[in-house]
Formats: sequence, structure tokens, C-alpha cells
Amino acid sequence: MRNLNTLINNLKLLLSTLDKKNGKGFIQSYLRMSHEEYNHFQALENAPLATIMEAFYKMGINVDCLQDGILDIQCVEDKINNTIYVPQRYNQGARSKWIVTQNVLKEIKRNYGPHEYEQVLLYFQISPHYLDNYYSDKFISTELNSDLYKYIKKYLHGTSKDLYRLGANMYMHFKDTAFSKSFKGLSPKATYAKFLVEVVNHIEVSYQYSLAKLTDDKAVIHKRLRNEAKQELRTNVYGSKEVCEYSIGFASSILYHATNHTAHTEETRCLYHGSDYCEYVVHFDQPIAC
Amino acid sequence: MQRHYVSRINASLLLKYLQVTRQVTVNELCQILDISKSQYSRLQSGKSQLTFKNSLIIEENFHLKLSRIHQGMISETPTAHCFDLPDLYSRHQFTKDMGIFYFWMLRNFLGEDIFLDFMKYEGLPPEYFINTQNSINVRFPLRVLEELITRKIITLHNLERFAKAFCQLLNIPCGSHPTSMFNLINSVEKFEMNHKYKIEDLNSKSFTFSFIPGEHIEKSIYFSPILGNITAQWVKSISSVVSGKEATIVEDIFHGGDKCVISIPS
Repeated sequence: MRNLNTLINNLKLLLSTLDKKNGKGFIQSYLRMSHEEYNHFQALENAPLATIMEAFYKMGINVDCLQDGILDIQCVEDKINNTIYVPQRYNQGARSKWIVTQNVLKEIKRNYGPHEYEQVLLYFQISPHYLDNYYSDKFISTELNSDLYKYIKKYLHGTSKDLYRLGANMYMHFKDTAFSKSFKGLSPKATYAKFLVEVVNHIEVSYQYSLAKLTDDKAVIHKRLRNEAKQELRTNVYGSKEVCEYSIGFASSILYHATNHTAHTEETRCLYHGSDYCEYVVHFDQPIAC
Repeated sequence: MQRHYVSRINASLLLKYLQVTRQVTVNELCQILDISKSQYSRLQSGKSQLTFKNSLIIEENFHLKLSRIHQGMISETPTAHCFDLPDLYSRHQFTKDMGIFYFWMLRNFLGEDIFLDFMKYEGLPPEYFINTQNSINVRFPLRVLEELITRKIITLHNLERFAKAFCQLLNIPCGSHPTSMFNLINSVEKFEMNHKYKIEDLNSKSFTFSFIPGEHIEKSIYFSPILGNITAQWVKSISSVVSGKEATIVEDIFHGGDKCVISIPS
């Protein structure tokens, strides 16, 4: 349920901050509103919906982001100045490659449609340019991925099963690449060993991964928090249980590169349920057809 | 590439949509929106615009998303063109117009909350059938029937009531002669492609037809303790309503037959 007062207060704070930094009347003239329209807009309640949504769109935000109070004012300024933007809080700490987030966003677009996808970009204040291939090799905080998974649950009515499916579908984004083809003919055991090395070294540096056990019928993977990331983020715990729900699916999808099947995977310990590390058990002997 | 901003909000269409799909009267809508009847008329005629407050109320009361309302997406199919149906529902998408009927039954007889729970549990977008052309496979009507039977909303005794509603909603012509049923069987593929129908006999005393499940249908459905018996009973009830005569089941898969055979007296 939305609270109109919270929305009005958050909007007023945003508008006054922008005016303070850029001069009085700056945002009103950017939105091309008359004095009367601008007053209506600030009061929200009786302004036409179309006017409000257009103004939000021009500022690169949406109502949910205003309501949750997660606005990054710098991003609004960057949007106004046509600069590429992403909230500062996602540019620090635990890191993984943009390609991970890009693929999650692509999956949101595929599963929930272009409209919901656009709302996600507005909610997180992510410049659409970040979907360009140019950014694939850059790093972004894994907190963004964590927040995206939470968003799927909160606003898209997703479940843990959906996050698992999201992770498990990731093989599709790599399946025709040379990277994926290099696994063909390998045993499941060799696939997991090789994949983990690649991921740890090149893609996902936000957590510490290790293979605790690797046999012909299963792989046991441990995931731990990194001290450097904790220090940078000034927190003892980062990420969330939603990241794990996605990771279980992702871990199951690795087998696809070698056998065109995913593997039944379960989480037996979890950082976010009081354990020191997460433990994923991948059962090679329980393949799932894709 | 970022698109230019386009607002597609259409208050008139939105209000009409709410009246039809949520079955609310104009008075009730005025009450919910906290507006007078003249304000309502102005909204409906396009003389005034939907305010942010109106939209928040609609969002909260009718579970429509604000961003969708302003994009005018309520009158079209909001997600179906891009939403992946779960595999269980997308294999052999054969049932077209019928889906909307089961959707309507589900929503009306179970209420909004149970309906949303059901759709979520099955992994289906609740807005899927806003576009009546969307197809879904046979699992959907069967699951709906299962749910309604389990909750004792549908029983063998009141099936005919639902059959009447079914014929009305799908505009199936009903007559007092078995030929109307004959015509229906001949054009049944427009509605239903999950069974193969065959006219067995047409004489001066009766009209007999049979149906067997298509190859893609799991035969176990016909032996399910909940659904097995209902399938033939359901077709029998529709036959009775359409023909205006009391149809009888001659043979039934649930009771060991190879096919279901229904007979209608002339």
C-alpha cells in the first residue's frame, strides 16, 4: 500500500535538493511546467497521472523508487545532463562483472516484458546504456544483483523458485560462445573444476569460492564472504538469501555446457541462515533436461 | 536507445474495463474513487483526466499497477505476449476461447484472493486471459475444475448450471433439436482440440457422438478420482443445454470404456 505523504515528502526533498544545487526554478524549467502545473506536481494528489508519470520518466525514476526512498540524486542530475549513470552505492564493494547483471536484466525483459524491464531500470536508476556490450567487462557491486532479486520478489511477485529458474536459465546466454564450447566432451567433474576457476578469476570476485568435494557423482561448492569486500562496504554481511536462491540455479546450469542438461542442486548450508559459508551440492547423477 | 515518453492512459477504457472484469457498478466505482457521478461522467467522456490520487485508489483496490494504468495496458494483454508460460501450460496450446471461461469461473467462484493465489501457485500471469485470443493447454481447465470440485463449488448435481454459463459466455447457439449439438460437434475444433470427436449415429430417435482424448493428453486424467468422472459428465451437461434434451452417457473411459459416448434423444 502506498503512502501519499511519504511520496510527497520524498518528492519535495528531491526537488528542493536539485533546485538548491542548480539554482531556483532549475527543475521546473527542465520539466517545462508552468508555475501552476509545478505546484500541482509537487502536491501530487490532484495532478493528472499522465503529468506526474511524464515528469518521473524525464527524471529517470519511478513511483516505487520514490516511495522506497532509495533515490540517488546524482543519478537524476546525470539523467538530466544526458550522462550515463548508475547509483554510487553500486559502484563500491563486492564486485562481479556487468555481464552477470546484463543477463539478469535480459531475463527480466524476456520473462516479464519490456514494460517491467523499463520499470526496473527506472527503479534502480540504471542508464539503459549500461546494457551496451562495452560495459560487459566492467565490474559492478553484487549488491545490485542482490537488490534485483529482491525486486523480483517484491514487485514482480517472484518466488524462490523463480530466482532458481533465473539462475538455471543463465546457460542460455553463453551456450553459443567459445567459452561454452570449450567444455564440450568434458566430464561433469572436469566441467565444474574448470568453470569455477574461470568464474573466480574473471567474473565473480565478490565471494570466495572453493570446491570442497568433487567426485564422479557430485560437486560440493563452498561460498564465503571476502574480507576486502566487507571492509570496503563497512559491513559484516553483504548479499542476501535471494543471491543464494539464484546461485543454486546458476550452479545447476554449469553442467549444461558439457552435457546439455542441468543438474539437481541444493543448498545445504547458508551464510544468511547463520552458517559461516554457503554450501551448494550439485548432483551430477540427477540431470534435468533443458 | 531510450524511447520518447508516451502516455497511453485512457480513463474511459479503464473504467469500462473495471466495470466488466471486476463486476462493479458505476455507483460502486464512484464510491471507491470518492468522486461524484458528474465527475465520473467527465472522466468517462474524456473531459477530465485521471488524477494521481484516483490512480492510487484503483491500484490498491483492483491490483493494477500504476505504471501499467498510465501506459493504458489494461485493455490489451499486459504480459502475455512476452510472458513465458510455465512448460506445463505451454505445451500443445490448444484451448483458446475456453480458457477465458475457466478463468471467469475461477475468479467468480473462488474470489479474488484465492484466484490470485491459484494463478501464482501455477505460475500463471493473472492478466493472461484479458486477451481472449491467448491460448493455453488442457491442464488449465482441468486444474480449475479440480480446484472447484475439491472446494465443493462444482458437484455432479449443479454441473448443468455451469454448462449454461459456458454456452452463454462462448455464444454457443442452443436449440431444441439435436442438430444444434450436431453443428457444435462439427465445429468443435474452434473451441477444443484436446479430444477427437466423432458422430457415431444420427437417426430419427437419437443422435450419438463419441470422443477420445488426443494423443497429447495424459490418459491418467481419466482415472483421476477427482477429474475422471467429471469429464464425460461435463460434456453430457453441455450436450443437454445445447440440445435442450436430457443427454445420457452410454460409455465412459472412467468406467472402463475405450471412449466416451453420449446420446441425445430427438
